Amino acid sequence: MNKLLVKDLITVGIFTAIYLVVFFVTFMIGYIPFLIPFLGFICPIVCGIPFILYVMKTDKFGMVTLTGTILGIAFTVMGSGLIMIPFGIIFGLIGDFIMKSGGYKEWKSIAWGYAIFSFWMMGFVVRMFIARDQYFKEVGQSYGQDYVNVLESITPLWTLPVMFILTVLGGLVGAWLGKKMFSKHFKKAGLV
Amino acid sequence: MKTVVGSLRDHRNIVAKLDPRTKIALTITISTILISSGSSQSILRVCLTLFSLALLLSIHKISLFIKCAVTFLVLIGIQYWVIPYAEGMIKFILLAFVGIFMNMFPGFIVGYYTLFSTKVSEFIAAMEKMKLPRNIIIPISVIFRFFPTIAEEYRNINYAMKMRGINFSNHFFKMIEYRMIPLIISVVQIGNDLSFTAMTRGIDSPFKRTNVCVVKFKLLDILLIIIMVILWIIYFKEKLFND
Repeated sequence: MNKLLVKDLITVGIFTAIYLVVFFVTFMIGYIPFLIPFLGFICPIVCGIPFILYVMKTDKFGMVTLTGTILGIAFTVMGSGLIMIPFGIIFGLIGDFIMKSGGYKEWKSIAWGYAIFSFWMMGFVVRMFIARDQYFKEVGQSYGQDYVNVLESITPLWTLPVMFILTVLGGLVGAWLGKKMFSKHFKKAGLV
Repeated sequence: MKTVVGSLRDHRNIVAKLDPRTKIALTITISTILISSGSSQSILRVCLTLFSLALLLSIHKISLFIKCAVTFLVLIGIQYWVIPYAEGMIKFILLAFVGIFMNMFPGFIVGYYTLFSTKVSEFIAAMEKMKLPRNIIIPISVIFRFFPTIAEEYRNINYAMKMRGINFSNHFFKMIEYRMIPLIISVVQIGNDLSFTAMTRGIDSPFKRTNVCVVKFKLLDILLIIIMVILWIIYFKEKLFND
């Protein structure tokens, strides 16, 4: 594959900005506490629309990885902790490899690549499960003990694999929605 | 030459003219400390919140400052007078709402301040000084420039959709579709224009770029950095020795 040109880098910037804004708005809606387990389901669906268009415009390896890296950096700056950067890089890279195997054109590889890429947002919740006691202690200090009790009861340990599965499902649905929107609107508008 | 430099001189005040690196460090410090530390240093919390509000004044966003201040007062009011009397799920939701807002809002305000008080070229100069690779610098500077554009486009699309009477109550899915698709299309179109402009201005030249913006640490920067180092020391001390 040839090197990324400046034009590609600008495309990365534009779509990452759109993705970031769309993700953030969805994230805010999904922040109603008892929706936390479904966050990984809702966000990839809505974000699928810009992302599929992005992939359709991409044909070089590395762009999805860059998007993941920048998302990681952005959320680290916004205070979600350093863990976001490795998550962004790793899942961006894996998603990139999967999409590349289909040449960024084959529908199946795009859908799965997007589903795997969506795992980066598990960086938000993974701390809740790995350093469980410490995390709940911190949350308890700043949100109050009542909050912790409910949060603990709606996120038992087995929800972690469930969240991963939900994210994959959300990614696939998002990719399908994105494809639908793509053929309905973007092709007509001549964006590709 | 002197006249050229004179016309380029900016009229922002001293707080808005901080080094971009200091601004980014400020954003990280305030958001991280507020989100992931206990309320044991509640005085510190209040100070950081007040500081972030003060930053809004430094970029002359007075109406926004008033709105944010009122929001904070309302939240504090809810915390003291409503929550003790609530029960069950409602209490949980209120706690979460107040907690999330109190923890995340100051970080957003500082981020907003960083976004609106920094020029893109200044930002690029700072990132080049941090020796980041070009593959990261260009996308980030594009994102940096695009947030205001996205906000503006969204506002206009919102007006148009209001005129057509498409809002939350009657068409829920249409509401999302009819706002997001035009937004994406217009932003991508603007982005294509931007990419050609940038090419014309030689962004892909292989030589080292020079920059009119002088980026260096001044006295105020150093002062803030010292304060931030102290804050981080307190933060880690609390994390490590409080168990």
